[in-house]
Amino acid sequence: MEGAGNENLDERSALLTVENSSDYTGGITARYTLNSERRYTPPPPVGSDTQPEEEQHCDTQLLDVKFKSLNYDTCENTLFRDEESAKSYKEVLRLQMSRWLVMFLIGVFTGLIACGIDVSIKYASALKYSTIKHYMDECIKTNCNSIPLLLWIAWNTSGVLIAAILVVYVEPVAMGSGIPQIKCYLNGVKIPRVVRLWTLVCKAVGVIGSVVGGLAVGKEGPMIHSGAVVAAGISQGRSTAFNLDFKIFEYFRTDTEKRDFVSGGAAAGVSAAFGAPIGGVLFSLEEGASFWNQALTWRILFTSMISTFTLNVVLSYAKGEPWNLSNPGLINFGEFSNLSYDGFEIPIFILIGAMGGLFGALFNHINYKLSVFRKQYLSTLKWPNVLEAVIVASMSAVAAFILIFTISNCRSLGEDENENPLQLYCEDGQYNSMATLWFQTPEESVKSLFHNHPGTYKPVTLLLFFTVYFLLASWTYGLSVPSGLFIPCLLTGAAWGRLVGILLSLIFPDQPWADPGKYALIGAAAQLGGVVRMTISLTAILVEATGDITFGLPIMIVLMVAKWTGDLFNEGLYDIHIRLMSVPILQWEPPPITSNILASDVMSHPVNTLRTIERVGRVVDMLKNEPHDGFPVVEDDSENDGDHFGSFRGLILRSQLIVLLKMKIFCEAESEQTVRNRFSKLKLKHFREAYPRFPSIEHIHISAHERDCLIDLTPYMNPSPYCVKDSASLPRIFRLFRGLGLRHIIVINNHCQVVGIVTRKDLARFRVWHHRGRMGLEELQISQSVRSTR
Amino acid sequence: MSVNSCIKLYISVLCTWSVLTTTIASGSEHSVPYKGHLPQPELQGHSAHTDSGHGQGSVYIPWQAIDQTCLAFVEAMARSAANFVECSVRHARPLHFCQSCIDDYVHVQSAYKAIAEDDIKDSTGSTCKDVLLSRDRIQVVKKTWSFVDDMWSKGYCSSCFSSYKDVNGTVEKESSHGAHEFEILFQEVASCVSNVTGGGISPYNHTSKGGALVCTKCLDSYNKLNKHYAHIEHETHNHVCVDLVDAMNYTRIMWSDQFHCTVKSRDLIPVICLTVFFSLLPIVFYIGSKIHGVKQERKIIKQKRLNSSS
Repeated sequence: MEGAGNENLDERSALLTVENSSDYTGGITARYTLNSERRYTPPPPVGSDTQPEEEQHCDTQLLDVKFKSLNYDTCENTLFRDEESAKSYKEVLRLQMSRWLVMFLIGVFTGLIACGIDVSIKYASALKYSTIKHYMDECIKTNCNSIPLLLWIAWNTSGVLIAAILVVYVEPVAMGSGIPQIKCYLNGVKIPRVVRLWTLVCKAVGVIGSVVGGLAVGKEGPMIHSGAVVAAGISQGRSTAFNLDFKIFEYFRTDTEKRDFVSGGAAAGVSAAFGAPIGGVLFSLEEGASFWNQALTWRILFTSMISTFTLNVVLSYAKGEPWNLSNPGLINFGEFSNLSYDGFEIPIFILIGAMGGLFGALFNHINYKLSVFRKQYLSTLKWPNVLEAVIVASMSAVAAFILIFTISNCRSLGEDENENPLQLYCEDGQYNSMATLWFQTPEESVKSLFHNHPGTYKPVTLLLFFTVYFLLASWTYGLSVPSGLFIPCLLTGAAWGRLVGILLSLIFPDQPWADPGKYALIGAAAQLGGVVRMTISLTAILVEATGDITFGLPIMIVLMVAKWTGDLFNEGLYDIHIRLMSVPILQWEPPPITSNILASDVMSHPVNTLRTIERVGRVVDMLKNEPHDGFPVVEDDSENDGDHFGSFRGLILRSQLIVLLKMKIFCEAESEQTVRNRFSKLKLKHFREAYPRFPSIEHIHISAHERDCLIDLTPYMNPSPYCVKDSASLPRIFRLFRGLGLRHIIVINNHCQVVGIVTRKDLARFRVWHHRGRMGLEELQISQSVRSTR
Repeated sequence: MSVNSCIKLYISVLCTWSVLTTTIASGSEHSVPYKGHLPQPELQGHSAHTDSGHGQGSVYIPWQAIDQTCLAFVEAMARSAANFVECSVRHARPLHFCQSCIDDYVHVQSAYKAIAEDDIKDSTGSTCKDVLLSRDRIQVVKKTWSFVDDMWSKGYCSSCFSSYKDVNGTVEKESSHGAHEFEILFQEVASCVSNVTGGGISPYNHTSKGGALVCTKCLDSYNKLNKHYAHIEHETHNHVCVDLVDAMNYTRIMWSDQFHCTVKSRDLIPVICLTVFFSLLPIVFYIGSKIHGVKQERKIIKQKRLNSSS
């Protein structure tokens, strides 16, 4: 077997043509378990005749080839060692100080962006609702009810149109809440364009559009993504979008440092969104925990604190009460007057938690089916995505309009505080409380459900509102607009929770514990827990947003039960969307009973290797023909017998090779010694300068003459990358990968010769499936998207 | 139309407790506070006790006796608070306590202020403030004040007045512009309604005559009142003085519940047509994209594996 070289091109394209089958609806999923000898048997090759096409294929069972890993591991090459030895302790101190400074700035900017979004949404929706209210009040008298309906639709569609156009035509990665993307990033997957400045702009403007556009969305999820982008931007000290380089923080231009800051930024986003600094830290910890250290946690707490503090100060000015620091987050649940609970309520909380799990699973299922449909039929063209968002926006207006016109839940004015009380068919001096649920931003509706008088909403109002909003929310998430998931879940949960509370107070009249507001909070927590299935961070976020630690226990109970119940049916919505994105994410634990799967089964083989002193032409060809990002560097590959590819010397990355070629670090073939000593001037700095957008090999011009030159890779390669023996088991490799955030692991044999290479996709393809109480192991296929008509 | 009949009408429209009607009517000018003629015997006894200082009715404990100045403070506070509570309960329905009890409120306020700002030390070195406000667990004086003040601020009563202050025991107050204007417009509506119906209406008499006539004749003044109310709401950021809120609420209830003057269009055919149209859009869209849509295809990339390739 030929290990490396031009022949690989032919082999690869041949494989591609064989596999280029347009019908992929069957036969690809190879669900298998260990056979009777408990020895791993690979699935039969895809497309061969032996493969029965019976298993229904599902889009979540593929991995996309376009996702690369982040490189968390430091490359300890000669350049790095030179730089380290030139460093003084003064410089180390300076670096540490600048890390704190960057964290401070991240907190401040995240807080400011949160404020900007909050204030714009507040004013734009106030304008929207007061305009529509004006026409509604007039038209109910003069018989022109279609005018406010059309006006409402117009407001909704124009807001959503802006959001959808920004997302679809400018930056598609800005869609949704961004939490799945950030989760992947913190897991170590490089999602293209996820932390660009334009993504932030689209996200921030888009979320204003979609919230003002009346969709069933919140602005909290996008804040987390925004915080992450801010972190990635500030820590790099430059903006490639504007071609600006401030020449600061140059040391942080590596994947390792950037990812640390991004986890800080995500925490700052959570903290600004919910006023939950601890929740923010725990969120980052939960999502990217494998790479944590105490110092980083401490810095992340700092940035969370700064972000919520900044938001607090600016919002206090926006609300006209300067330095009244009691607005810690974009949403706070307000002050509960009565959150005491008794022991006998705990079974009720458990039941509510189970209900939350069921509703959450249903929500996820509906959204999953829709997302699969969207992925299959709507993702190839752009305009249908915009159209779909606009249709959902207009349907949101229509559904709300019909509900408030058909349900007359009249309450006396002045009972509760309302910005825009609508009278409709109520008597003068009354307002329709169904209308107030629709006639404010979802955040405000959540608060109304928590705090309004026990009699404000009739059971039928809540039931209808819950049903419609539940369907709208599950329809909305996954549209091509920036949209948070927390608020719609809280709102639907609060609606049915309050309904439960009202029923309880009917069954047990005059019992002070049967407080609808309290049960609305429990229901909101249950629904949110049932949909997103986050554990500790969600608990911390909700407890902090409630602001009442004594109510922590019920919230914890409810979240746990909701997660357990929901997990019987499907995964959390973020995980579902990560699967739909076909991202090779590594779970917390290696799949169980996989110790019989050895490195030789996991690894890629054959490997493309480079020699320590290599001909430039061969390097260029390999970079052009192979999609890989890491190449083992070997010596003595002459006696290659197909089983191994030479003695292992080190690992070099594509990005390093590109920089070397670009800077023309090669010379004409003389003796090897002269090559070795010629380019001592190249510094690690040059690699950082090109980060993160290394040019592609096609953009590097190498003349025919230069192709014959020699390049010495030894000073630039990583001389001691992590490697395993070919007898290492899958769990061992998995833990190494997950724990250290690796990108490549070289597999060697007993003679320290390279036999294979393991990357993230090789590991992520082994996945456990759970369904209806059964479980097993499945192997995912790696795929690439192509377009074809039906 | 005399002011007196206006007030009568206002009461007859708004009052829910007919028993109280006469009492309030006589007290509605309300220049004299209820000093001296408290109806309940208990209160009378209490008042006698405070009057006499270390009283005959209660046990006199010499080591707990307090300074004469402090005693005067206590007395002032007790009397004004009692007056305020009585006044506010009497004006609970129809709710009119901000404007009726402002004098008493200001008196309580100045009495409390006098205690709280007292800094004259007695022989033992403590002030009346220490003695009255921080010597026990319940702190009756403080609690009483916070009750009074809480009621006042919950009703946004201050927004009824542009200014009020205590000048040596007499209260100088000025209604706010909005409240003043509201009063005028309100009386206009009230007189109009009483003119048309002949004054003989009660709020829960649903079969009252002259309803339709009221609707046409008084529509202008009713609309003016509504408009002005909305203006006040806007101006005070929804912190409208509760007197006005209540008067407005009951006027509205009278208007739409009693006289059925509010006309609403229930012609929803255009709305239904629009709804049907917009509801068809998603169906058409999804079916259309399923039929004509470009389907996303994925190509499987064969991985290089040791076992399958060698």
